[in-house]
Amino acid sequence: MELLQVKNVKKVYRSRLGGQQFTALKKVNLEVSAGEFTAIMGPSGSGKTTLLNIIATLDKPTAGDVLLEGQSVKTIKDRELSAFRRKNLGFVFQDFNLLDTFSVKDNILLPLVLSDMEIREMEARLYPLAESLELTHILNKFPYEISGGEKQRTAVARAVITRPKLVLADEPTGSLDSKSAAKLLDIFAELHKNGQTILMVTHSSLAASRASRVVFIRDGQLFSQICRGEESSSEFFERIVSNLTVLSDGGVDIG
Amino acid sequence: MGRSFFFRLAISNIRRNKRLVIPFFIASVIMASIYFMVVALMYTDGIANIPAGKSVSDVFNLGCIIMSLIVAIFMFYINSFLIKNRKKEFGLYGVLGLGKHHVGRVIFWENFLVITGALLLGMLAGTVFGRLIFLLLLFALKTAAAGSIFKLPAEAFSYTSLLFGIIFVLITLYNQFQVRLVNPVDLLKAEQMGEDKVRFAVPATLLGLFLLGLAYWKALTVDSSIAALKEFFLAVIIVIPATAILFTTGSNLLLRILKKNKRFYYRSSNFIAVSGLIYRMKQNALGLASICILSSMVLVTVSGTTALFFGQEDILSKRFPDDIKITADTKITPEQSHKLELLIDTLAREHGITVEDRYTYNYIPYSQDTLILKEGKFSGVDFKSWEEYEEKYRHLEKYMYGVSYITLAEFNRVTGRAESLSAGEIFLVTNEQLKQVPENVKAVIAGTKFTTGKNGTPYRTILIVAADETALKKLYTEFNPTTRDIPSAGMMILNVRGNDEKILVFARTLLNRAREFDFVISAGSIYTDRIEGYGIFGGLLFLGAFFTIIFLTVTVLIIYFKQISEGLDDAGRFSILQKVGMDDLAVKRTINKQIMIVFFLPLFGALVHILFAGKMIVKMLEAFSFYNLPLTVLCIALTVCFFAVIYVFVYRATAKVYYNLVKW
Repeated sequence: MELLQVKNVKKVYRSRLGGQQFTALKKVNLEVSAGEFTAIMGPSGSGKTTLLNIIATLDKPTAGDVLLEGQSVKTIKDRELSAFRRKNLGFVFQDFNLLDTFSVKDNILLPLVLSDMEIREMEARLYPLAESLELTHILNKFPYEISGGEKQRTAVARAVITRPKLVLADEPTGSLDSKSAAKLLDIFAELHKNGQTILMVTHSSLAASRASRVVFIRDGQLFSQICRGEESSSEFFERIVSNLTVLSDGGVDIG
Repeated sequence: MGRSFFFRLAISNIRRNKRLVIPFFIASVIMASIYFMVVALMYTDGIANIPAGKSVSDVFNLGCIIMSLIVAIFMFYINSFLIKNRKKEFGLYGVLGLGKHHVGRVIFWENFLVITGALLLGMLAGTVFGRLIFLLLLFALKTAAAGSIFKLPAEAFSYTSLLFGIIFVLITLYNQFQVRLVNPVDLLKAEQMGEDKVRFAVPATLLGLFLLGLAYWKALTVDSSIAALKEFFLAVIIVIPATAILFTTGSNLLLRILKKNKRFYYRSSNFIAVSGLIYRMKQNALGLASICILSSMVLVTVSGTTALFFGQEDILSKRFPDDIKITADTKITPEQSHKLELLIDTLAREHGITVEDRYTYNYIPYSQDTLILKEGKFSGVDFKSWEEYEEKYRHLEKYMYGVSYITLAEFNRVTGRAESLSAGEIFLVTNEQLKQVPENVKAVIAGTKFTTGKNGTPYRTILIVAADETALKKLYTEFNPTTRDIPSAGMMILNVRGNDEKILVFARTLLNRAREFDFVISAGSIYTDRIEGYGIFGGLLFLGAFFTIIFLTVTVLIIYFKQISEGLDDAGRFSILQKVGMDDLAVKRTINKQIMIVFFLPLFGALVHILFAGKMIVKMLEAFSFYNLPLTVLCIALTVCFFAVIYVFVYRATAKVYYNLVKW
């Protein structure tokens, strides 16, 4: 069974007064197996972030369903959604979304504290993770004291410390310089190698080239998808770029 | 760029920032109108015409000076909050290419519009409500003088305009300076978040605790009214920095200690609250400390003035156990007494007053000294300097009595008794409960004319009755060894009945005429003093109410601005927490908890301050001869309750704005 199944998801936004309608997602079907590293690419306004938010249970589909390990998220009560997110999903955002009132350490521990885990267990998880993400020396600093790359690594640590079934990343390299971005992608690749399932929305072909599969989305629909197979990252990168050319044939700017 | 451009920009800025500007504007209107009313009440002919006009006007005169200062300081203070919230906007202008002097001109116009508008509206409100306040004041002063019509004096307009003109200049200069001080990029950048290390947290907190303890200890150990008056100011001076230190460093230290305790800190119920509070307290501590101090001042002022106002009769009856007293600094001879009686009879007939009781007696008065009656022994109070008094006698004040001396003959004559004393024996005439009396006291007599007057009982006095003149003098020199001349005095006591208004006129005329006799040293009556007293205390009460309104306005505004700037920050934090997996109810609960703690901390602090200041307030009121403890306590308690209710009300109102910002 697939880890994540997106079935016929449709999303229509209505303006507050009910007049204007905007269809962000028409009818999207997507499956992600356990251990897969999937990238979703598409031009601005194609609906990729909407799709991610629906998978993340931050937004609700107008029609269709999302299943995680066969469980429909529709059946989860609103009250239990946050606990569901905490247990099953990890998030990495473009603008980091770290809390400025917490130190790096506390930011990482936040989801575990919310689950009322024992402090010894929390720290047992934290230190090896911080070591592997090169965060140990900044654990007691505050978000405003560290660099963008460090902030994003902190966010990654926070996303994976709960050992989630699925890590969702929304433009994780969007706010980073190329060096930090490369480092972050290395970390994603490393996580993937260790069996972590990752779903990443990105603009960057370079970021997408580290994934095992790239799904292209346009105008609220899946357009095409390509799998890496045995290719190297750079060969896969070439293929992504040529695919993007096809995708932008209609004059759409891919950015 | 023409002037109209900046003017239009200023208007659109005000419109866009109405969430910030309107409260500032309202506060300015309130301050302008209150200031206007105080000046109007001070100068209006209506006040001058009422019986206690002079004292009311004096009170308002003093109040006016203090109020000018307070209004200026507070306007400046709230403005600094306002401008802090707008720094980003000014930075944006810089980025868009407006020079700093351009921004300066916009600021000039903005301030001009807001302050002129507030001034005009304030004066209008003052004109409308001034009349009402005037009528209320007359009611409080217990006068319904017919000639008292409220006329707006020109001074009210000119003074208020002058004050707000000065405020306008100050604020505009300050804002210009703020804009010039920083470069656009810095202005645009969000404030640095999170916590810096607070230096010397432990010693600073200890210092704060020490100072607070010192002030509280001083307040609790004060045992005389004079000391209370003297030390209250000192205690206030100590409490202010102590409060500031404890709110800033102390709160930070406490939260850090909580944070250090991992088992406590890393619990879902404490984790977000503790770190959130550290952040909030750091941002707000000084503002909260100032709210706490302002609230304490309001509470002290209002409870003090209400106690004095409602306890007036108490003070009066202590000072005037009988209606009218005329004192001479020598013995009053029968001829002199006759002259006075003649005058009284004539005036009484003229004014239609009945003289109920009248008697004259000669005695040795207590001068500035008092006697200590401790363990059955009288002893004198002898000191050369205030310091010496403090050291030797302060702790003995509860044993001190005002003692005067009278011969048995005079005593028997006035009271109509037929007591007798053998040589060396004395009577003590007093209503006080004396625990232990000297051996030569034949009896303690209570309830004579000397101690139980028509209106009440004097406070802590003893009249010593000795067999004859020689015995009196012997006693006096024994208790006052340093005194060469033995004073002697005469007193005429008068009780009257009749129409209150008529008695007042009668008493006034009598006192004035009596003072013309060369043997009369002083003359006073409960009727004239009552009117004076209502003038002073009623005036103080009104000023107290005005100050309270101003303090509350400032408090509300500070809180409001804080809620707004925090609401915007919190909205961001709220959404992050939700994404990370905290359910929205829990988020609401924890943020709510933090806001409540932060908001009610100043109130709590103020209540604690008042609790410890209680004894000092009581003692200070004693300086006004006010000894009614239950009434004082009641006034303090009612003031505190009333204040707390208003505070909660303000919380609800501003919380609504906050929730709208966070959009729950």
